[in-house]
Amino acid sequence: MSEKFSEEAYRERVKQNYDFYQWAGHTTEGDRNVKISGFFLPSTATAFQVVEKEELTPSSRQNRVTRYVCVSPTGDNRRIITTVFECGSVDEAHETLIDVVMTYMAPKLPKCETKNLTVGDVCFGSHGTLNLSVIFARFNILSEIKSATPGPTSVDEIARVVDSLILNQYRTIQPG
Amino acid sequence: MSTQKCRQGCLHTLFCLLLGVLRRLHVISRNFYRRYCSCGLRLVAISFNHDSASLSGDAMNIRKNFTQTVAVPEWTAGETLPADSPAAYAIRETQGRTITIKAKFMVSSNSVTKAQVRACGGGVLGQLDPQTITLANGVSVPEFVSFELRDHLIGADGINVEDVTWEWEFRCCGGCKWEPLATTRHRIYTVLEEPNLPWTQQPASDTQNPWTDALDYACVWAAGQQNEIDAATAITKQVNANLGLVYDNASGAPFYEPQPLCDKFELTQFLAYLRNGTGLGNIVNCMDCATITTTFSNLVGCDLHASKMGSGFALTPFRGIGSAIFACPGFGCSFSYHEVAWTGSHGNADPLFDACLRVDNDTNPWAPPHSESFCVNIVFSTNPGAPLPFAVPFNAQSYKERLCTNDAAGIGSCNPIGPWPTSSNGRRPVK
Repeated sequence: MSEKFSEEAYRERVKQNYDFYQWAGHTTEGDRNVKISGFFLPSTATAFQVVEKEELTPSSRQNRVTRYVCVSPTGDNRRIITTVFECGSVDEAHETLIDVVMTYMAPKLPKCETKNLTVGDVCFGSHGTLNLSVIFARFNILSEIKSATPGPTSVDEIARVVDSLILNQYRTIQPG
Repeated sequence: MSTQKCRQGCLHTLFCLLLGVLRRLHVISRNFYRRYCSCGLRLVAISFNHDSASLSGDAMNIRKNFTQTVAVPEWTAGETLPADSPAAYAIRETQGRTITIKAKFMVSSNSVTKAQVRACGGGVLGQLDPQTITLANGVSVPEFVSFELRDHLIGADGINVEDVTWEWEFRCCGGCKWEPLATTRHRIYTVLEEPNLPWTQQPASDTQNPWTDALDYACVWAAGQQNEIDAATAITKQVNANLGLVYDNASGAPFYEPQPLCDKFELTQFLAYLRNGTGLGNIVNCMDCATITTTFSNLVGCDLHASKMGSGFALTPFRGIGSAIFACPGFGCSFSYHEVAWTGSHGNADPLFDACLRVDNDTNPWAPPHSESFCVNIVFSTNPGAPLPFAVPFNAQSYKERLCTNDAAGIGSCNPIGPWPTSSNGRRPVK
């Protein structure tokens, strides 16, 4: 059985599930050549407080992968895991999105737009009434935000904050 | 007493016998007795893993966790907590072999050349029979003296963790009375055999040598088990039912294998979760469950690996980890893939252990009512390639038939794949 399985064929199937070819390489602002570097989350923001930060081993598509363990500033013991993948290009960020969702057991995730969340160039939320996890790419930065504690609290606000931080960094480096 | 000459000989022995009687009658003081019939012997260190190249005649190579080692000798004077003096033994490798510990002694008088030492208690390690040690220039010769564990019970209770205490005693310089030398405490782990990958038995500093922080859990979860199947069964049930883990119904994402490679197991984070509920939280997916089961089972001597099945198959309702009911996941009645702790070469006939869910074990697993069963030591498929659908009653103890819908989209689409390419053959290194 094992020899019949092809990782490449599986990857292609995942891409089809996620309509990859409709959004791959596209950005909503700037173009596919935009490259943000040195993007880090601040230790405190309106929606989260970072309690742990760790550099993870990148694959060939990323320059840096940083995982943040965040808690809610309201002190409700809710833990949120945010992983920021700083990729080599917009295209690599989109391929990395596929790399990550290939490890999900859900065959497909809903697009964020269908759940009243507009962040990134491409974004997928989670099943259910609330987004308990969100994965989105903005330029060459892929962000995965997951609630690590059960409970009916969405990660939408954190996703918006992370996206705005990326956009702010992009706009700061734009000439004029 | 330390400056006294240590006398020997029959006459001196008789003299000490008399002083011993007088001491017992409280006619003379302890110090008076010691002045003539004792020495200032001290126990300085005890080494359990005195041969890092072997685990058949001594303890195995271990460390505390990813960053902290276990120094050898494991016990030095002043240590009082059992956890500060740990040792781990493998039942299979030590069975029928002579097991020894080594201890170092010092005495303040150079004239002392011999002493007798013994230790009472010792729990699973047993007492240490009286043994004459030689001293030269105030230090034992050889520096670390071997003591055979003649009365050990390693293996009698299967997998185990036990805090043991030795009450050391000595006599010297013709003294006939055993005197207290030291009380030492140790944490002793017993596993079935040499831990399998990702665990290794490299010289002491290797980060993949067994961690006592993990043995503290694995040896409790599998306590008393005498073979690999029972040990993996106990650990699978523990992971599924008693750790507070909950399935990620939102997307089925892994939490304890770092993206994007999923090439390691975040054991340090998982231990933090077990200790105080922090780490990377209690939400898990199949990759997490398979990796946790594999890592803890292999630590006590099992030989599992995390391996996938798939890809893209329809599910019959199951009871997901942390759920009270039989249902499909929140994201729908299908898996893009599924990962379990598998034996052998992850083929149809190879039994597996799945801590992520419980399946319906009755004669109709595809319809209510559901009669749940842990997925332990269950063959992946007893009927690979059989025509679908299967007839009811279905009696086979066969995993995929009880997980998938009874059709081509379910059972027909669920096949063994193998480990993730980046997972070190399903034995993710720990970090």
